[in-house]
Amino acid sequence: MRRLGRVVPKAVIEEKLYGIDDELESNAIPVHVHHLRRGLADAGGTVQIHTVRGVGYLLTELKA
Amino acid sequence: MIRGWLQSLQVRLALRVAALYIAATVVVIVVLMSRAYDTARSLGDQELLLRANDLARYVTAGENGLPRLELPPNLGAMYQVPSGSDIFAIRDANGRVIAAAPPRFAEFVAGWPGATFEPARFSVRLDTEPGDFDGLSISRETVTGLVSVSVGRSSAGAAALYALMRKFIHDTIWAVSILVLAALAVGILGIRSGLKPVRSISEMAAAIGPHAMSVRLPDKGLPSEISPLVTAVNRALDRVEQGFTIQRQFTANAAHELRTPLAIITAALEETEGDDDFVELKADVARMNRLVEQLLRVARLDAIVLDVTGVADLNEAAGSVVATMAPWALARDRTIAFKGFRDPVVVKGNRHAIGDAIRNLVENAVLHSPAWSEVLVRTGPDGRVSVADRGPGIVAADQERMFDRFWRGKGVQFEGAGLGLAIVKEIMNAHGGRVSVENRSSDGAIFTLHFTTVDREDENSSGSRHKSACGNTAPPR
Repeated sequence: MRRLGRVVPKAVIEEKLYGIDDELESNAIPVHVHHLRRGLADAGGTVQIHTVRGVGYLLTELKA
Repeated sequence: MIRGWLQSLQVRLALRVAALYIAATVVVIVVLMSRAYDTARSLGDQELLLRANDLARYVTAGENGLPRLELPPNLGAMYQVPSGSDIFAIRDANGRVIAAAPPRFAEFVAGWPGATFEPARFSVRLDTEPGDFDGLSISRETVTGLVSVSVGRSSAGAAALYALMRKFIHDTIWAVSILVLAALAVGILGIRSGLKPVRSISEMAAAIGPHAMSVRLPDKGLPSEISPLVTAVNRALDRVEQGFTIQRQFTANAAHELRTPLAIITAALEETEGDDDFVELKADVARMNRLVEQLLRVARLDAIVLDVTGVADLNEAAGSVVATMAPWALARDRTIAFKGFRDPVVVKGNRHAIGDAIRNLVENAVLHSPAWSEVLVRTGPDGRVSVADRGPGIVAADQERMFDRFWRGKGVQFEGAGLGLAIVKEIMNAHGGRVSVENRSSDGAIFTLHFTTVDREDENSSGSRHKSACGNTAPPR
C-alpha cells in the first residue's frame, strides 16, 4: 500500500522477490499478479492492480 | 534584373568611372587633334611664307626694265621641276605675271586681285595637275617694287599628314580603352575586397535569432563608410535583446507567481468532497496547472541555453515518463504502454529535456485518445522515440503549423495552451534532432523524436558522465 497511485517498475518487484542474482522465470510475476488480483477481488478489496505494459504495475483505489 | 544590378555599389561606381574615363578621353583627343591640326597648319604656313620670301628675294629688274625672276640654279631646279606638289606665281604691282609654275597656274593667278601684307589663303584645282593645291598670297617688297607672291602646295601632302594623325588617334583610343578596362578592373577588385567584411557580417547577422541574441557584429576591419551602420545595428540589437530579456523574464515570473496560488487552490480542492460542479472545478484547476507548467517550461527553454552535451538512455527516459504518467492517464480511463528496444538506446542530449519532450507527446496523445484506448511509447535502436495514439489523426494542412506556439487544432474539445508541441520542437532543435508526425494506417497519429545515437565506444567512455549529467541538468524551479 506504500506505493498506492504510483507505478512500481517490474525490475523493483523482481529484485524484492528474488534478490538480484537469482534466475527467474519470465512469467513468474504476471502469474503472481494474476493470483493477487483474484485474491483481492474475492476478498472484496478496495484496491485494484493495473498493468502498465512494458514498465510495471500500478495499484489504485477502486472508483466508487 | 537591371534594377537590381544598378543597386550594386560596384556596378554603379564602375559605370561612373567608365563614363568619366571615356569623357576624359574624348576631350583629350579633341584637344590634341585641334592642337595638332593648328600646329601643322601654322608650320605649313611658315614654310609657305619662307618660300614666298625666297622667291621675292630673287625678283630682279630685267633688261627691258620689267621685273623678272632669276633663281639660283639649285633653287631653280627645285621650283621648276614639275614635281606636281608645289606651285608658285609672282605678279607685279600691275597684276602682270612675272613667273609661274606650272604655267596653268599663271592663268588662274592673272584674274586674282593684288595681295596685301596679310597672307590670304587660297585653294585651287588645276586641270593640268592632279589634286588640289592650298596656299597663300602675300605682298612682298622687292628691288623692283611690290610684288604679289602666291605659293601653294599639293593637299596630298597634307592628306598624308592627316592620315598620320588619324592613325595616332586610333592608337590612342586603343590604349585608352585598355586603360579604362584596367581601371575598372582595379576599381571592382578594390570594392570587392573592401566589401568582403560586409558579406561576412551579413552571414553573421543572418544567424541572429531568439536563441542567439547575444551575437554582435564585429566592427573591426570594416570600411569606415560601413562601420557606422554596423555600430547602429549592434546598438539596435542591444535594445532588442534588452526588451527580449524583459519579455522572457516577465513570462517566467508570471508563470512562477501563478504557481503558488494555484498550488494552494489545488490542495484545498483535493481535500474537499463535492458535487459535479466541484469535479468540473477540479478539472479546470488541473488545466490551469498544466498551462502554467507549460508556460514555465517555455520560459525556461527561452531563458537558458539547453546543455545538450550529456548522454541519456531513451529506454530509461521514456520508461520513467510512462511510469510517471500512467496514473494520470488511468484516471482518464486511458492506458499507456511502453515497448523499449532490448538494449539501451543511448543518445546525445539532456536527459531532463528529453523527458520533457516525451512527456509532452504522451500528454497530447492521452488527451486526444478515445476512452479505454492505449497510448504506445516505443524506442528504436536508431535514436528514435515514438508515441502512437488512437485519436483522430493529423490533418495534413496542420502538420507545419502545429509546432508553432499557441497553435491549437480546430474542433479540439479540451482546453490547452497550444504550447506542448512548440516545446517539443524547441527541445528537438536544441538537440539538433527533429520531430516527425504521421498518421497510423488505422486510427491515430504517431509522433516520432529523432535523436543522435552515441557509438558504443563513446557510451563506455562517458558512462560515468551520463549519471552525473542526469543528476545535474534538472533546472531549479
